[in-house]
Amino acid sequence: MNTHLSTCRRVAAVLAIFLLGIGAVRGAAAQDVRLLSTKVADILAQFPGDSAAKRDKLAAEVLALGEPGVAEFAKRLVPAGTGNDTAVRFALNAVSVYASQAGEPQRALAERALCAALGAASDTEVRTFLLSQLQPLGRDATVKAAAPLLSDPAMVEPVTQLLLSVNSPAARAALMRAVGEAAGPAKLTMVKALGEMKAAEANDRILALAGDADVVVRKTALAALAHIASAKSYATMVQAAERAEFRYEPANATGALIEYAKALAAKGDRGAAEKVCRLVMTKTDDADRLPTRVAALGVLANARGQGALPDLIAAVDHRDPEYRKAALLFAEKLRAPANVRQWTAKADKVDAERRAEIILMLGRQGDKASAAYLRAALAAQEPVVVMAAAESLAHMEHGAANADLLALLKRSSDSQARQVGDILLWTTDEARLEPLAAALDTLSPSAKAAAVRVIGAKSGRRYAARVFALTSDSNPEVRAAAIGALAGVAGPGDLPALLRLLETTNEAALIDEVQKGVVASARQMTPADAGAKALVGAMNMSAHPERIIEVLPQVGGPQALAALVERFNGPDIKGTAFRGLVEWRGPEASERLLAIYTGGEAVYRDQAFNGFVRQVGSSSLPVEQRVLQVRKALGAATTARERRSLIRALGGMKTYQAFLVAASYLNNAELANDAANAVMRIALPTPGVRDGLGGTLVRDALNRVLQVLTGGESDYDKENVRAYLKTMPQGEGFVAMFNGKDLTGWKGLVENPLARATMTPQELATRQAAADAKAMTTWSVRDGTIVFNGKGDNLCSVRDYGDFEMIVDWRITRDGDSGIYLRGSPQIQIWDPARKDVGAEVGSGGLYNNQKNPSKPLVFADNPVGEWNTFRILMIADKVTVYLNGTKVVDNVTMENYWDRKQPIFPRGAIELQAHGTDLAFRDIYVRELGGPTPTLTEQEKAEGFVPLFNGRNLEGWIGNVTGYRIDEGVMTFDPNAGDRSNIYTAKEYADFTFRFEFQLTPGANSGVGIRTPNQGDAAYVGMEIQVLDDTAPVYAKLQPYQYHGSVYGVIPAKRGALKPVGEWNTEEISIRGSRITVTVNGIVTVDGDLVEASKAGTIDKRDHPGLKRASGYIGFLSHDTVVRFRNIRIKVW
Amino acid sequence: MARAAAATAGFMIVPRHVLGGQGFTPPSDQLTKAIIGVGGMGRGHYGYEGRLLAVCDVDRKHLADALAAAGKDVKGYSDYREILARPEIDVVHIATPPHWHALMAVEAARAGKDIWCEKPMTRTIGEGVRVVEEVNRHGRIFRLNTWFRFKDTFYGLGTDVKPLKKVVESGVLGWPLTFTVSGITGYDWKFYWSGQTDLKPQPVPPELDYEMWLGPAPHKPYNVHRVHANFRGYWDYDGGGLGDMGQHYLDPVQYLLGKDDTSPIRVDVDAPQQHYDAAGSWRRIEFTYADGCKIILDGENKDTEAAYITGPKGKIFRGFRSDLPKLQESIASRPDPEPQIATFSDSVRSRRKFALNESNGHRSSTIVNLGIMAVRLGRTLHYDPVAQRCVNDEAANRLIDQPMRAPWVL
Repeated sequence: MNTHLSTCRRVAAVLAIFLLGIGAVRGAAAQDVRLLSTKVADILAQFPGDSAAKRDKLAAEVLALGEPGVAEFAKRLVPAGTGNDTAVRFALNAVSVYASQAGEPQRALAERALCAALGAASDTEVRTFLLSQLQPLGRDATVKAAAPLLSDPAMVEPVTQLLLSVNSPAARAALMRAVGEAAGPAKLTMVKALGEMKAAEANDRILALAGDADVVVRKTALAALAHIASAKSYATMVQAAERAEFRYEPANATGALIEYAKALAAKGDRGAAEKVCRLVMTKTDDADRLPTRVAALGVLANARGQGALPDLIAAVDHRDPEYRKAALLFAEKLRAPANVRQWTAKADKVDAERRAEIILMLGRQGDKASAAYLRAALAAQEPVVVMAAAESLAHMEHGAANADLLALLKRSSDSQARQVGDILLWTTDEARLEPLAAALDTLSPSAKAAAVRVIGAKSGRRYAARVFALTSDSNPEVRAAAIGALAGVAGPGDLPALLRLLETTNEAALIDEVQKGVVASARQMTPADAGAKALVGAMNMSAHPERIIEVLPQVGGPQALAALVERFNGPDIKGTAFRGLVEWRGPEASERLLAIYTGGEAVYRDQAFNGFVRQVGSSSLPVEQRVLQVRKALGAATTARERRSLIRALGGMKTYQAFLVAASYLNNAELANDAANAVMRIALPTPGVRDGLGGTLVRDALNRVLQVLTGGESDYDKENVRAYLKTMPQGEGFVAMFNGKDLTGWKGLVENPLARATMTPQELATRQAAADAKAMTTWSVRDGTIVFNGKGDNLCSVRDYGDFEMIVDWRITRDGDSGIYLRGSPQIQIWDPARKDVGAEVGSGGLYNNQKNPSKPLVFADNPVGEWNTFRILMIADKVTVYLNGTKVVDNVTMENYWDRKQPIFPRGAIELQAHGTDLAFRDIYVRELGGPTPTLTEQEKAEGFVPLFNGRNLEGWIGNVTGYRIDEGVMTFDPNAGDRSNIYTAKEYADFTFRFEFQLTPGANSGVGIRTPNQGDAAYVGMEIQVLDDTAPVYAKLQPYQYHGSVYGVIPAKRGALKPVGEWNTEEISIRGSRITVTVNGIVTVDGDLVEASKAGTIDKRDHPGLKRASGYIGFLSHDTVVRFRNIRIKVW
Repeated sequence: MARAAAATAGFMIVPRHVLGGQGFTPPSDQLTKAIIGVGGMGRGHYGYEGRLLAVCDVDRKHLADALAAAGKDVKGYSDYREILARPEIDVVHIATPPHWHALMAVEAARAGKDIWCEKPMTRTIGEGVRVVEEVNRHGRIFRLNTWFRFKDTFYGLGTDVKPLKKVVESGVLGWPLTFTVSGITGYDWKFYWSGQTDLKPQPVPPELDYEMWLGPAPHKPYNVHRVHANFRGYWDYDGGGLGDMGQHYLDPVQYLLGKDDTSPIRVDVDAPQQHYDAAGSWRRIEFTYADGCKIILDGENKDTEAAYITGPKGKIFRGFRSDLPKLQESIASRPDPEPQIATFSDSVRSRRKFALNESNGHRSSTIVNLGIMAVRLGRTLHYDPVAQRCVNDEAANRLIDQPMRAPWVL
């Protein structure tokens, strides 16, 4: 990929091709010998474009084929339901959207072509589609082509819509001609459009319909007349509204009259508009028709602008507040200092109610000129006026109004003080509290309470002492406000005082407030557990320990949780402690609730269960842990309701184990629908994330989901499931290594892999038979788990595995010890962390036998002995990654070969469950084999010294954009949507070499091989780029020869024609020694040149190529916008 | 506790009969309502305030089910205009698919009804302009049925909007701000609400008046996937997950940014080519306001470290985490946002605008519709928030002004 064809230049390239297409189609055809139908098929195969740029590129390619080409597309349209022409519709829609923006030649070409297609089409739905695509393109050619269809009743609507969209004199004329002939719905369609076109020439014809017997005709005609707004319509429209008594009725004559007035004003005929409005206003002064009167006043106000002020001021005298308020909303828009004077003058003359309404309008309007009046109104006698002024002033000035509001507070009555306090909440911040606090002593009790509330709400910690003092005030309102403010003002040092208050307060509502203060104070204490510690200490001395218990969930921390558990297990306040556990915030209590649920007393069972489900669903624990907890709960569940809740909870846990558990209920009649929902949620990808589950088991389960899903939005869900089934990852995915019933697939252990290799087949068979017999006595299946009796050897998979992902649950007992052997070698460690003598305190999951590489887990992640644990193990090449209960404990560590430390781990081998003298259990053992063919060199290549550069399994040995390439089955795929679009490079640098690889292009694909390049910058210039390009794509028809596939970009052109058809695999060899370079594609030498020779008189692209002078550098793939695949990458260094 | 009560008390909501002064009699103590569209969404409106008098649906089965679940005084209709003509109905709930919202809202306003309208408010900007005009013109009270700007924690963000508003207004994050709405910040763009591209014509079920269901939308052959619950996937009626959820997600952003009276001036989009009929997915939509504030819709959750709000001086992540020290602790000390009327009947009785009304609702609907337009056209749009038109883009303006099918006219 090179910048000349990169996105920024793409438009130019497309345009160049496009112009070529218009002016010299034959010229392009001379280079591209494919038949038109082939070209059409090639383009169609690329629809829909995966981006707008791609859509436009494809549209330009379509247009480059000229009218005959577009016709070739349109010919493939089929009537709905008779075949799938989706790609064609995408293509023609792309042409429509692109051509409307690309310039006049393109627009005209697209218009001609689509009109021709319209002429050729006969199906109503196909024609309708073509007409809709002409909308952004249409001019008079369209009118000419479409107008004849107006005689077809089924086409009237889409044709009229198109003519409306064109809205030229010719379009109006066409409608005028047709409307005379039309009848019924067709006529309505045209009348409506003529109205929307404001076609004055249609006015007389439409006037004749305004008195029609059919209400729909009347409505349509009146609406059209309103739009056209001819003075000639006045009498008709007024009469129609009068017949409707200026009420709402289905013909909407009243609404049309109002709209008519508006349109008259818009045309400049304000006098007529005003006349209509005043007429309506005189007829609609009763409560029922008030909205219409409002509308007339609104249109009048709009028409007259500033001149409407007297009308609006007069409206304040109206008896109905709804009318007054609507009028004041219109007035709000007429903002001018002079208007403020008129309004305040009016306000002084009207009653308090109306004055308040004017004041609120002035506040919303926000003109500074009204501030003085609002301030003065704060001193009014009437509370309604005062509060309107307070609110308006606060709205206009925010904090700057505080001084006035404080003054108001000082003189406020009880109920008013509360309201002023409410306003202070939104004008006051902490920095403005001082005047309020300073005034406390001078305030009446209600005002004092309001002020204290504001201090509390704004966290006025500086005033904590004042607030605490007021908690014993003799006035109950003040006292309650002060206690309510505690949570806001309390600091970490206030806990003792708060606890004292908690002991002595008796009213329930106030206890609640003190508790909030306790929580606030305790949470501020340091270190983090100091608050909990202090509370637990206080609880033991308290006469009301339940009051402290109640706050523990909000304070949190291990001390608080332990205290709750202790109290729950104690005799006294068990119930309060239990509520605390149920209300606990955070993941720590779910385990406790589960224990109460599974083993506890019946009275707590239900609530414990509900609390557990809530906590496990929102917990911050790793999802694997939560799945283990849900499974445990499922084991104890006794009712369908409980199981249903748990299965629903599983739906939010995206792990394979959760999938397995949910799927196991798909055949349970009572729970199938919930299981189906859960399976769907687990298996389907999160939008935009590649986290969908794959594999045969998932596929089978989703097919079952389709059968059982019902209710709600299940149609959507099923659609979603079907769509995913089509696109989900292919392949078998996880398969069960253990069938849950017997030990099929498992065998006994014979020695070790090295020892076995020395045995004769006969000897091995005999020993194996003996080992199998022994294994079946020491290993067995119980309740769907594999268990070990504590004596004997490992249990081995019958199959050998290379690269794989494995999941397994395991459980040990006290002093337990086990492990998982990978490829016949020890081991991922499992042991009881209590065994400090052997170093088990580091936890399980480590690569126990490693000596050079890490052998201990990164973190401790074991569940208590006796509980289940979940492993997820990835083994790729010689690297192992282990997740224990959702926590990564081994991160891509080399696993050493225990049996022979000189050699790397065996490439394949059995998975073994280790026997180590204690009882064990395993369940849910699933494995997913990974990786495709390991790269194989031919014997000749081996002899010549070639080495693989790509191991087919991961990007080991590569640097740069390792996230933009996906590895599947030995293939490296660049996906522009996967992430980064930058280059990927070999980790090493190379000077003289022969580089071989295979590649597969997608239509229009563009990539490149950078050689002797730095690992950043544009390789074509800072190094060299050997072009990789689908140079057969129409968009690349006009390439320079030095841009063809295989060229040393810009320097040495390649011979064309060596590429296989797009989609097939190609082989390529790039060989460079000194300045000599050859490129061989599919066995054909396409470049054989000398870099010095080729550049001594300047390069052919006339650009500076400093990279030509480099003697060595990285080799990179330069993919950007299109999918390209590479495989079998190897190199020989000279 | 005290603060919740304070929020509305500041408004001095006074019962209507008090405002009416002496001699004024309220029409009834309790507002009366009718619901148009009683499929899945409309039935949800039963529980909202007001006494239900009438329901309407063009599907006889829906109507029968709805009536069976309603009280005995409730009357059923198949033509909403008959409901509008009943004078004793105060409030009309519009719970139809979005292509009907504007028409019904405008007609209800003319009939003097107050309006409780489902989201998205309108499916084109042009329709929204008309709704604002007619609702204002007739002095009606309008509420849009989303609520995250005034109550509850909104979606995955895990916080109430009020403290966020305080933080934004305080300026501690600096200005301009960028909002990122994605799975990472707690939202789901529901791309499964996509349409199908090759629907086969099917017979219309006898219980459904399909022509009336289509109403102002262009005629297309019936298929079950077009109608009930599935309509969201088609441009003619809605706009996929963006169309249907977008206003839920973006209205609080607009509120937080204080942009209730304006709109973005530019929309950039990264999406696959869209079908002319069926809504599809998109990768990224970026809205830019005149002052540089941005809203980024990250459909692919590509920015895994995304903050919900990013300002020059600080960020707020999902769950109200922030890179600013002590932000949580300092929130309370800041001024509260101005109170909003969050109870519809308070709004109706006081005739003061509801928190989320026709005006700011139209502006958040505009963000959604601009996004849909940019996705459909696959190109950057430039928008004039005052004229409410795209600049030099006739094809885009055609999407603002999509004409209705006759005889429906706004």
